[in-house]
Amino acid sequence: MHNSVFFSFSRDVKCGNILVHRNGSVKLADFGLAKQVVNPKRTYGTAADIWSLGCTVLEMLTRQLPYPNLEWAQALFKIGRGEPPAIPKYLSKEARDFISQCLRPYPDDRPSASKLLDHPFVNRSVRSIMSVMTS
Amino acid sequence: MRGKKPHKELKLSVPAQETPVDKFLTASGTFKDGELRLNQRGLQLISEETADEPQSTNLKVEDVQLSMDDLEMIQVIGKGSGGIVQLVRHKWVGTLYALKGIQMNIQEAVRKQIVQELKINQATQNAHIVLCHQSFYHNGVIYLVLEYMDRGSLADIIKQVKTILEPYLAVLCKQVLEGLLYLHHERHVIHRDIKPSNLLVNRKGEVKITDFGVSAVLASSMGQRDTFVGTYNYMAPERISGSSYDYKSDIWSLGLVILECAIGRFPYIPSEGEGWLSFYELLEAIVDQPPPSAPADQFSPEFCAFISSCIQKDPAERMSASELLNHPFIKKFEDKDLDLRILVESLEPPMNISE
Repeated sequence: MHNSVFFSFSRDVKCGNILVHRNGSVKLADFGLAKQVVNPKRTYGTAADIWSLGCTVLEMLTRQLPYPNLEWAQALFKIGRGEPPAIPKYLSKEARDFISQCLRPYPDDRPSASKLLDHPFVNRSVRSIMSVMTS
Repeated sequence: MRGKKPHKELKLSVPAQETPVDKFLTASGTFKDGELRLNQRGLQLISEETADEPQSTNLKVEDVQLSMDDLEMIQVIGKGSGGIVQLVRHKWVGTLYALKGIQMNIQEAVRKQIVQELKINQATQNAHIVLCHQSFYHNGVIYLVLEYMDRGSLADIIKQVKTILEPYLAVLCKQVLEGLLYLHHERHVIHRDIKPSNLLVNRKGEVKITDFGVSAVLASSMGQRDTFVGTYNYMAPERISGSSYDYKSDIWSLGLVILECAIGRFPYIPSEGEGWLSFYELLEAIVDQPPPSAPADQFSPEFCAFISSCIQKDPAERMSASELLNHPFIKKFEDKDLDLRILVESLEPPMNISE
């Protein structure tokens, strides 16, 4: 899973390839649909991709879509309200912090991709993978 | 050897895999779930005591002879979020049916919903619920042989007439409420998808409810965009906001449908043509704004009060189906010999069929 995250950053493809790799037609529709219909009073930019990245990482770690117990309209309503999905406590502290930063309600509060590369969740994982690969 | 400690942190527990296919499909192509068995020969409910000797129960005598081979396809009459609906004719008897195909889905939530619909259909006997004569499972598709409603749906009707007058609305309402009363109080089922296209009409002027929730689940899980928005226009505010909901959520949906028939547009569309709300704005309006109402200068006080009783934001303040059946708006027209036959006969049928 971390390998996917690693290559995602190195190729700068954000969510698209990850979603395609995991039966992307449906899941891409999921994210695309969410983006199309969420709150038009909020403007979108690169911060929207950071939100999507947070959702994608959360999905990979939990093996289910964000807002797992909600119907579509309920999930979209919460997204439009800027209510982030629940992050399970069984995830590591670094993972939870990474995801919660990506899913901050206000786009300006979300970190940029370059800043996220320095986050311990990514940075430490990359080092671990590299050390495993070289040993 | 420092790498070992960080390596351990990479291990994460993950939820179990989805149920493998062989948990609900046998090698011979039978769909099974609990006591339910469905294949090309039809639906069986097998009690535990007779597990060693599977036999059909709850099958009506006249349906025993009904099989897929007996039906010939005439044409496709609908494409809903649940799948394709075909008009079929019994080769020997000539009876027309609507054959609805639901693609089998591996997701457990969808399978459970399909099983629920199959069980509801198996047991449902009410004049205002579309009758399911038989169901089959073949090549990954579940087929429901449904009563054919030859005048299409309420959606077809309001496309032609634009608005429906109060007396006809009262007759329409009464029939739908009797169907909901049955679902809520005898079957203990929330329909979850009351909307014009799920209220079917025949040439006798009978109105019947169809689609018990499968379409909503399928629409969610399969991401079918063509029916996505239409499915949720009629969703109750407490359901949208994520609160718990019950039978009263169907009453909200019915209220919106009836108001739409009365004023000639979906109630949350601005009347001055200011432009469509985005989907989120629609959800926000339903949850946050006061409910729409029937204009008092155009409709009777009884009708305005009826609509208000259906679309209270607080479900506790909404009337139930049984209470609404005694509402002055319904009672007002009850003794007059009104039916919808005159209305539906004046309209074009949804398709041309040589019978």
